[in-house]
Amino acid sequence: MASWAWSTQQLAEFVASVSSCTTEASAARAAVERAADALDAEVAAIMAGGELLAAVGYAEGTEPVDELRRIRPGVPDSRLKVPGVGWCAVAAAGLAYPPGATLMVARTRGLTRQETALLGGMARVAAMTMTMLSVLDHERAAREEVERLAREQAALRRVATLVAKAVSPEEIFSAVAREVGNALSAADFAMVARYDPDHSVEVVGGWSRAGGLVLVGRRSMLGGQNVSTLVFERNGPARVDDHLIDGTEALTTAAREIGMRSSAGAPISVEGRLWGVMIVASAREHVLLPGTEYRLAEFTKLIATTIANTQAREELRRVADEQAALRRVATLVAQGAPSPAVFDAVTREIGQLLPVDATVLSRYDPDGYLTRVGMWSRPDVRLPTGERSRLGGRNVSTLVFETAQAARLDNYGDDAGEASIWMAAGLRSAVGVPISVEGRLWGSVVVTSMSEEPLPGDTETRLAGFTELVATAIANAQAQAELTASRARIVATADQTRRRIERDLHDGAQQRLVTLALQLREAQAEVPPRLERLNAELDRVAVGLSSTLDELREFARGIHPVVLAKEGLAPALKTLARRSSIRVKLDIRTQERLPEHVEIAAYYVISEALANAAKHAKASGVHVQVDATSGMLRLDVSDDGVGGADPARGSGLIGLRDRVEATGGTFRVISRRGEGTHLLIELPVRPLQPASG
Amino acid sequence: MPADRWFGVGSCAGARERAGARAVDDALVHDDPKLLIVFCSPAHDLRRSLRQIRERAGDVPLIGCTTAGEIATAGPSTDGVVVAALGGSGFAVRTTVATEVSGNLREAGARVARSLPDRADLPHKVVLLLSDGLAGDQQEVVRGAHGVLGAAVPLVGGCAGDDLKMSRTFQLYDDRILSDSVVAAGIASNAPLGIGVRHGWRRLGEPMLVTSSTGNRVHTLDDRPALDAYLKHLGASEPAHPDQEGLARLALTHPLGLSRPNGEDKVRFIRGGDFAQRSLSCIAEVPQGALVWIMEGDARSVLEATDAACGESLAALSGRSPLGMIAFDCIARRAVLGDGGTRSEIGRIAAMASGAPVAGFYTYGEIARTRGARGFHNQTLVVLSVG
Repeated sequence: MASWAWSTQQLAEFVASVSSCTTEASAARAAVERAADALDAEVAAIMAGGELLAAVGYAEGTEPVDELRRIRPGVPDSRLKVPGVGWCAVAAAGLAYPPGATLMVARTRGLTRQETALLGGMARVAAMTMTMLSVLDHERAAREEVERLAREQAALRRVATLVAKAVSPEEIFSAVAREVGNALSAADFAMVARYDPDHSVEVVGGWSRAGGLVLVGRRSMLGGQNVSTLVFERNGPARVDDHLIDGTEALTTAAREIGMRSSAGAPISVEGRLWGVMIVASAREHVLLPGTEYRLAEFTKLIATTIANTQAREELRRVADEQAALRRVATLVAQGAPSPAVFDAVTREIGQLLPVDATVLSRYDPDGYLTRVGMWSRPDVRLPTGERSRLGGRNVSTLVFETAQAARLDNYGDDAGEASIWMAAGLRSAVGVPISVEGRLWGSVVVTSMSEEPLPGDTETRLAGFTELVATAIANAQAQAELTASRARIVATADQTRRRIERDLHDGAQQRLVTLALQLREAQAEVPPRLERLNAELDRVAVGLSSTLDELREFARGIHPVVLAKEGLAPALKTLARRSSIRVKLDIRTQERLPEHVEIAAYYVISEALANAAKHAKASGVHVQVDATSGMLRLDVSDDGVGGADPARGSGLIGLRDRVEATGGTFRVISRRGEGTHLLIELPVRPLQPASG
Repeated sequence: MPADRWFGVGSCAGARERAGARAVDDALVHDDPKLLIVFCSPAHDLRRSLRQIRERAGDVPLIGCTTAGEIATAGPSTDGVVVAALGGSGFAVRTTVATEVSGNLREAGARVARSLPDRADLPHKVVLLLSDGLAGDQQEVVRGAHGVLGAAVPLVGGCAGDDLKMSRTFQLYDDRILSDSVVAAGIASNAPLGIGVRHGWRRLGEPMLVTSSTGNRVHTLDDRPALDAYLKHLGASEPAHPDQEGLARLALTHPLGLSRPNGEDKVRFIRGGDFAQRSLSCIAEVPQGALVWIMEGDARSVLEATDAACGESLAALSGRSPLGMIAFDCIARRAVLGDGGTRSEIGRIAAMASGAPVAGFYTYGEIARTRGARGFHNQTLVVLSVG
């Protein structure tokens, strides 16, 4: 057969064989085998870029790569020494692909020109096939890469949706672990773990391909050659390709127990701080692709966002709660609520806001004792009763007293002192802050907890807002009390003055007038009957004296009725009623004596009310009811006059109000035009407050 | 009597009770046997024969296989057992086995190729393989072994037979009777070993193009169904119904030939046909795009090939007489030769061996790789001369 036909046939066989290969490597292998077959060669090989792609004819592993590297097409008389055969002539043809590759054959007798042409043909076919396979390979790799990216993007999107829905962090961690595990085909486990301050790491989200493995909650100490530790130390990605190498550390041992053989991890940083680590692991060694630890980056960012969001939300909620609590207390203070109510509210709000088991508000007394003025505790905490304790010993109240600054104790010792009877109640640690009113230490707020963990570091700061409000409330209350006391004192002083005047009048002018009147009567008795004009004159003087005396008595009574001091409110009121120009109905339900300033206040109120009723209200009758119960004296005065009394418009009611409020009482007037005037007064029955100093 | 290198052959025709024992006794002509090669007719109780051989020979490494006829100095047989033994300090032998080879033929070849003893003082090396030819394209076995050994170590051997039933052949390894496996003996010797390969077929008529084939199966020749084209080419009448036996008989003496640039055509034995699909099934690969001839042969060409093969194998011995010869002869050639012809053939081999013992069997395929990468043959005689 013509050799050209044979060559064609050989080439056809070569094409059929090589072009049916599916990978570059197998195409190279088929090419050298077919070339050796076709040309009856001892050796055939393809070298590309200094590397041996495929060879046949050498015992395995003995290919002389250096010699083969030197063979180039077009170099005549190339020779190779083939073991077991001897020197062989070499023919080579260049391949267009891989670039710079060479197909060579070695045979004891050299190739004919025809065979050389065939070799060239084979080289071309091999190159074409490998080019095509390389293109297909790239396309496939590119497609796989695109698919992989698409899968990862979908996974990231799913997680991002969860993050946006503000699902709980635990759910997000588990979701991320699951998505990462599913996205990486080589992964058998995936975990999100948090670094804790005690150099441990705890799993907060986990997934295993086989399912059924509880990873969440596992905690180990850092140390050794494992991904958690390496990521922690480097603050960067890390991988361990074979856990069997290092068997010493707890984390590695735990990993091996679970069945992890190789793992990779990436750090999770929240707002610039290393928060935790994302780990993927496989049950086999060396299967995680290079770069796995870097592909985790996008997922770790999502986790970081979640954590930051959650932290921000929690912070926001905390601040909102605090603001609401402060506002509630501030409202009370602004409303002028009595101090006990404020103290109560403060201790309760603090107790509900902070992770504490009891809150106590105390006042430091001048005698080295403290008085507890407000207290709150959780229902299952029994607080000791008793209002006062002596300062001293190692406890927060004493520390605050001594330093006038915030103090904290993380556990009470034996020398806790009387001020800290909390230990018996099971309370362990405490934080106290001072309350300063107008620059002076007034008392303290102390919060305590039963937990063994110390109270959070920001407790002192968070209490500051409340102590300011308390100080304000106390200052307000003090000012209020001062005001009331001073008003009462003013009134009392005025009353004393009036009494003095009355007494002076009585002892002085009134007495002399009485004496004068008597002397005049005596003188009158000595006047002879014929001096009628003189008698009548003396009579007139006596009457004048008498009425002056009456006026003076009346005047004295007006400023201070003696009967009130001597006999009390009820008789004085009866006198008033008798002397009133309009009908008065008295309903006095109390007979006991009351403190002086209370009786005086009540007397003047009713006196003024009666005068008003007669003068302004044009009433025909007044009903007066007096009642003393539960420490309060109630006066109820109503007339049937024209009404329309306005305390602001100089109807004498202002004076009444002043006097009533100076006593610490309440004054109400209901006076609608045409419906009469109704006064309701309440006076607290208690001794006057001494001036505070 | 000690000898530093010796080769012996024992045989026993007929399925006798003590056949194995007798054969091995005759083969062990000296002490220090290094290798036993057993060719046994499938008509025998393999287990019994093997046991007898092992009893007599002890733990000597043993490889063997079933046949489609046996060759021994005494003559051909179809129901006998032949044992060839070699030994002495001039030889070192290691045997290996690969099982479950179909689908992994290349790997099997590589495995068994790693059986060479590492003896620098015994520089002449050859690997002798006996394979299950029904397990797939045996060229893959050769490729696997060649990939490990390279050009320096020749391969020789044959495919086990099963008396032309083409259903199941057996390979023997020490005391194991296996199927779907390859057994091999790596032989290192301090004297040359020679290999000769000839077939004796010649082309018949015009070539045809393999227009469609996959592996061992030829679907179309010249775009016509292969079976039909083949039968037509041979002028055989279209069988009325599927006639595998008839086809096998025809195919035995009319293999396909693939051309080579020089030397004899590569012959491909047709194992059978698929009458439904009209395809031909060969025992080795017939590449698509190849040009094939239908071959024919006669007694004379076959015997000429015998002489030539023996001559070629002796050439490596540089004039020395061989200790013995092992022949791997294709059943197709036997079919051409007939009974009388096989006797002549063996006589000629023995003559070429200068009276040295001869062993061998009729195979389903022959292995001989001396040059280049190709080493699997059909319808061929492969002769190993032990120097």
